[in-house]
Amino acid sequence: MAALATVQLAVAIAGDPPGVPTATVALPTLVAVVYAAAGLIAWARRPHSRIGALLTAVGLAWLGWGLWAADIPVLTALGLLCGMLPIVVMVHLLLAFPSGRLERRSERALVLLGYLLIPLVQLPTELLGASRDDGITLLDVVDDTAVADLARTVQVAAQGVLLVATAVLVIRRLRAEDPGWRRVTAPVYLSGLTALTFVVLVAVLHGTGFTDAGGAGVNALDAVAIAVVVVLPIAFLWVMLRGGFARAGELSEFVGRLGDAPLGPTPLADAVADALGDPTATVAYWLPAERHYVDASGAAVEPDSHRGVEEVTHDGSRVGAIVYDRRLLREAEPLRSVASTVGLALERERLAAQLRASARDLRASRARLAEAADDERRRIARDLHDGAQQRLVLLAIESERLARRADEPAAVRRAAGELRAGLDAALTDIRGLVQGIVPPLLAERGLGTAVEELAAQAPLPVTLEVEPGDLAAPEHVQSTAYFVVSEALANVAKHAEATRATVLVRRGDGVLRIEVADDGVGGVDRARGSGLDGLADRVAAAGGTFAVEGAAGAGTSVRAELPCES
Amino acid sequence: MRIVIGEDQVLLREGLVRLLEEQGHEVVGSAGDGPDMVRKAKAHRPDIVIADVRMPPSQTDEGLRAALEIRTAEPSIGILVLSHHVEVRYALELLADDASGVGYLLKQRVADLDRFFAALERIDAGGSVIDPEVVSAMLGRAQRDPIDRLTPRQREVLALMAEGRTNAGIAEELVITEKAVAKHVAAIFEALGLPPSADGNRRVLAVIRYLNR
Repeated sequence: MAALATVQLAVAIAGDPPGVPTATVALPTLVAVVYAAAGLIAWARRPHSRIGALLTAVGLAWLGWGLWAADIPVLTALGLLCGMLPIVVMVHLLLAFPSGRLERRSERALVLLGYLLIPLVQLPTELLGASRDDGITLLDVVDDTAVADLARTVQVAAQGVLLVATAVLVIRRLRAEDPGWRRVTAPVYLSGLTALTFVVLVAVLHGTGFTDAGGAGVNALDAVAIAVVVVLPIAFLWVMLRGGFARAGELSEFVGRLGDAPLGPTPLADAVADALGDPTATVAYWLPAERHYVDASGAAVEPDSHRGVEEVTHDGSRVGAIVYDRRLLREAEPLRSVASTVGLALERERLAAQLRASARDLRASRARLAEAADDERRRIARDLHDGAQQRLVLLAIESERLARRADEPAAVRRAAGELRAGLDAALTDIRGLVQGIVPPLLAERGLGTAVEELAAQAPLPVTLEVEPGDLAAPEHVQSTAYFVVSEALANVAKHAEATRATVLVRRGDGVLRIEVADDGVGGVDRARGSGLDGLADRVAAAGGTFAVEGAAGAGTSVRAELPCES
Repeated sequence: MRIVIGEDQVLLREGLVRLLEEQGHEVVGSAGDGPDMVRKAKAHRPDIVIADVRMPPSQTDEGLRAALEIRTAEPSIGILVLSHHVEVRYALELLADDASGVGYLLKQRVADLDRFFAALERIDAGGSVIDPEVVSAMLGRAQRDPIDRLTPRQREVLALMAEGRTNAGIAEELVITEKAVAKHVAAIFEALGLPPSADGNRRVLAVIRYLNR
């Protein structure tokens, strides 16, 4: 490559085209060298990616185009025919980023069109460009200024269309990406588009690239264009060598980190992420019975089209996987080396993850059961209200009417009266039952009012710290909270010998906090079955936490926190 | 008398209508939800509205709220609220401003026909009828020390009054306005059942209650 560049430079400088300073002649070579260098580095570090090859190809295109300055007609003609090549290869490079492949049909079509422009537009333009005073006659077939101008216009328009179409495709692709990915790739795409724009701009303004027929040197626009164009390969390299494109680097260091005990799930995942250069990479643990992966917390790992899963085995059986971003890691080799290293560490952690997963399932199913039980209680209360209670009241009315009918025998009327009394007792029983299932005030007015009423009914003074407006929790959470306050106050009345109590119910940070405290004798003995175990169970079933404090003589405080997402 | 019924349980509603008509009353409208009941009460201006507490659309205390709305709009219409359950709180809300022409009974009391019809007569005559359940629950509450019903802030104010502070002194201590203190003091007097009087004894009485606990 270096030899090629040297030869090209020598030929171009030796050509010394009239009216063009040596610096301008050397510029394409400079650009070519930067691209080729970046391309060869990328190629060497990531042999499976075509990006390195494409970068190198851009360098070659620039070299080819630089030949126009040569004093050998064949080479000059070749250089002129390469006029659009750097632009087209740059479009190819940009659209192939980051995988090196053109993944969409629209992108493949545009790149193909770009390459076709060279025989279809560039070649005719040069053949018809006889009126140009470049002194190169090899290609000048038709000598007609009007035709030449028309050809030139077509070429400029074609370049413009190519640029705009590329911009549209790139922007469309950026908009479709998720934000994290966009942050990584946007700088490359944007610098690429900028570079392309400048190259096209210069080409349009100058006719053929950097040759300025009347110019005496490298003007400001050329300088900016060169700077921008040279920045692009550096941007590519920068993105490839840091973050997502870093090669699975120092494996020895990685193995060393694995040896550091103790190794929790997060350090393992961090070590994997570092080694792969994919900050989103993590580990998953295989649950053979359930046949799916879970994360360190025991939650199932959901499949995602962007996430690749590299299986990790230990002693021949699957223990887990490395979950990584497919777009950042396209090579199998570093993944395999990391995967083969983490087997033992993953197996060690897998059992813990398995336990967490079953605990998690258990909690979830218990919470579902608790919620279903509360729904069922409320349904029973509603059914009693709309069914049995209504019918019994009607029957009681009918019995009474019968008891009052003068035309019935006295015995019938007496029996009807007794029937009504019996129905009245049944209604009273049902009323008590419903009160115990779901207190009507709780169903009708919600937790705040129901707790106020509990406090008002308590046989001792109760100070309330309840914000009724803040308690719009799901029904089953309200039911559990009500149960806690009600049972705790009943306990205070029965055992505490307290003179006063405080009830706090407050919602915030995704939990409903309940506290019932008294100034009584304390010394709670939960082993003696004070009803607190029932409370603890019901709170735990709702996924909450429950605690009782009460040293002898220091009063008792019952605290519960119920998860309560809004 | 002319009656509007609000009751969403159809069988019970029909039973009530028949019962009332047999007794010689005229049921001028019957509604199955709160808003309809309010509409019919305002349109027919009956002597009494009989309202079920739990009704559509909300299936909560719809009927009670509708009854309170009717009472505010047409104070001359008597209200009898029926429910399968009674709540002291609802009774207090019904009786809050004016206890005349108001009743609150368990639905099962309707079967005691003599008392039910007597209750209607009493409400129509401007009296009030409260279910025995509610009365006993209220009596249970009445034994409680009224000072416990004060808010924490009201208790602070009362404690400072007991120290002999003036309203201005209390305002300074609690860093609130003197007007806010006056409001707290008025609320304390009300909570302790101390009626307004020409002399300034209420303050002394409140403090005595506080210190005598």
